[in-house]
Amino acid sequence: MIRNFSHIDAIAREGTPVRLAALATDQEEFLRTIKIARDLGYITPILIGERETICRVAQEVQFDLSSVKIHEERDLQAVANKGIELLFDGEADIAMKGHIPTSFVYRSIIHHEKLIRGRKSISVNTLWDVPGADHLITITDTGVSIAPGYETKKRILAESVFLMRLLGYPAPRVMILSASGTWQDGAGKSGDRSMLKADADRGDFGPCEVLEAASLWELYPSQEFMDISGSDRSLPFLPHVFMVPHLDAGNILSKLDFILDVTRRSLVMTSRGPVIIPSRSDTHQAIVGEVALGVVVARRLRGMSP
Amino acid sequence: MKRIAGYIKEALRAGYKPLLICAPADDDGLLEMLPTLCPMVVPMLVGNEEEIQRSLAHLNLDTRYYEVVHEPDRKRACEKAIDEALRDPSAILMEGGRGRPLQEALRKNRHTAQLFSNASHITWVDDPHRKRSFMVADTLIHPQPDLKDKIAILNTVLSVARRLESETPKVVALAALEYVNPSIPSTVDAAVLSKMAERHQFGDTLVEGPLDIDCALSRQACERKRITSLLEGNVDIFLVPDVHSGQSFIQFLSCFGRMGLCGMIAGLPVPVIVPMPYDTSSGRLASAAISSLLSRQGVNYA
Repeated sequence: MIRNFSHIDAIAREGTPVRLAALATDQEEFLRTIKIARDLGYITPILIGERETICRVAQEVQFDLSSVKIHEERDLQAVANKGIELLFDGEADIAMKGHIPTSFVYRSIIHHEKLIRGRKSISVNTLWDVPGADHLITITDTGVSIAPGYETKKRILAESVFLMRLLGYPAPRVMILSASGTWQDGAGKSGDRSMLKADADRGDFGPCEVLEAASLWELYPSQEFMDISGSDRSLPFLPHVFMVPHLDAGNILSKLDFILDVTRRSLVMTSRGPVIIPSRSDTHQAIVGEVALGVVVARRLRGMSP
Repeated sequence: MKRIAGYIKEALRAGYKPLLICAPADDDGLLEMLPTLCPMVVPMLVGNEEEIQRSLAHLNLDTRYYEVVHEPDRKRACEKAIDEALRDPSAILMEGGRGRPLQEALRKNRHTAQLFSNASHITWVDDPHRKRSFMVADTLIHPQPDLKDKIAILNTVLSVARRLESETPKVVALAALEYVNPSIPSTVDAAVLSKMAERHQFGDTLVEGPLDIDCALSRQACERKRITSLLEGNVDIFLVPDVHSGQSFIQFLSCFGRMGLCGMIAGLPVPVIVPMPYDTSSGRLASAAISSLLSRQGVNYA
């Protein structure tokens, strides 16, 4: 079981580097990230973009490209298509977005999933390493579905539970978040929760437990919880998966690392491997961490060791 | 904005004690708090007198100190409490007990029902690291607000912020991303609110939107995304896209960040304190303190 990101980093450094298709690597910081990830032994990069620009930026960050494969593409959608094609054709194990609009990458993933009759929708899982917690948590979907209906939520949840099992959690605990105490009580949202719980109880998502509780306050009655002071920051029964009602909530929660003492790493799962979509506000250290997560997930998906 | 404890101190220092009408007064947790509340409010308990007296005695509280208005029926107790509050515009209403009987009565009362469109539940979040608090709205009343609702929510919250301390509150209209995307209503609403603020439609204030949470919280995130923001990570009011995102936001802050929370409904004739899942005794005290400070200024929210 992988309990924190240090563990992820340690595993990523072991074993054979995986092939990473880097989409639009014409920015200094992004190329530096790729270089660091390669130097750490995480990846063998495959670069896609304008060769001339890539070579110029590589010189600036002292990145020797003599043994690095570069696919020349100028149009940004073509860059996304090429990277995702490499992933789906098995020529890359992970893809990572560089300086390119996220929607171009999603469009390309959805196109390739259709071609292989794979996933009907995609979702972003944002993992958190929470000090005091004895396991990682994931928040989903934090990046794709604006207002998912029940069927989409079912796919999002299945994806997330699968990811957490891949990381070594045999039966992840799931909390389907929704507001409580409102006048209309968001009937649609709580309706979805009971249906998803019934699906989970039937075994539709494999081993997992969907909790009755729709908020952390139900798990940690505030009075007792908030009275815990000082260094005791344990969070007993903390769920492994938090499923948000919509994109607004997902985005707000996932990036609370800007105010909370937690660390964040995100990825998109596809039928052929993970795709890393760093936020434009992420530092290169944060992105290297996301690559490590992608490496571990890719290896486990392909049955590679470790 | 000052830390939540600062509001408690200020309310205690003020020496002004508005009437706090509790209905239905059948919540032991609420009754237990009375001695702590008394230095800043004068409680009036509306409910079954016999049961209230019994509970007070059980809690070792001197029954003579508290005014009790006898009304055994919970629904009628709430109606009576609202009538009392309407007679005293500097009063505060506090809901006790199970269910939402007071809110239900407020929504049905002919003097208050129509005001709910302007009402907003505001949650104050105490950020110990930044040594300040900030407001989040709406965290209860409008599950899925449209632009019109958001304008009303913003006006109400701004009015409270200005009366409490901040003459030029800094507001972020949160959305899933910092660009306007016609498919994501929160981004469009936020852009409109921001433009309205630019045209001074909300008075002296700064409203930035759409902004995602990283840009709202961090100047560095703005720089990386090449967003020019005057907020500089220094936000007084987070206007959330809807109640689901608002409650998720504050619950993660309270549970993962151990940040204290308190809140009240503004926009009705008097401040209304309702039970929230995050309630603690210190939070309820802070809610009463903030409501007291607002009522001290003779605020007529309507």
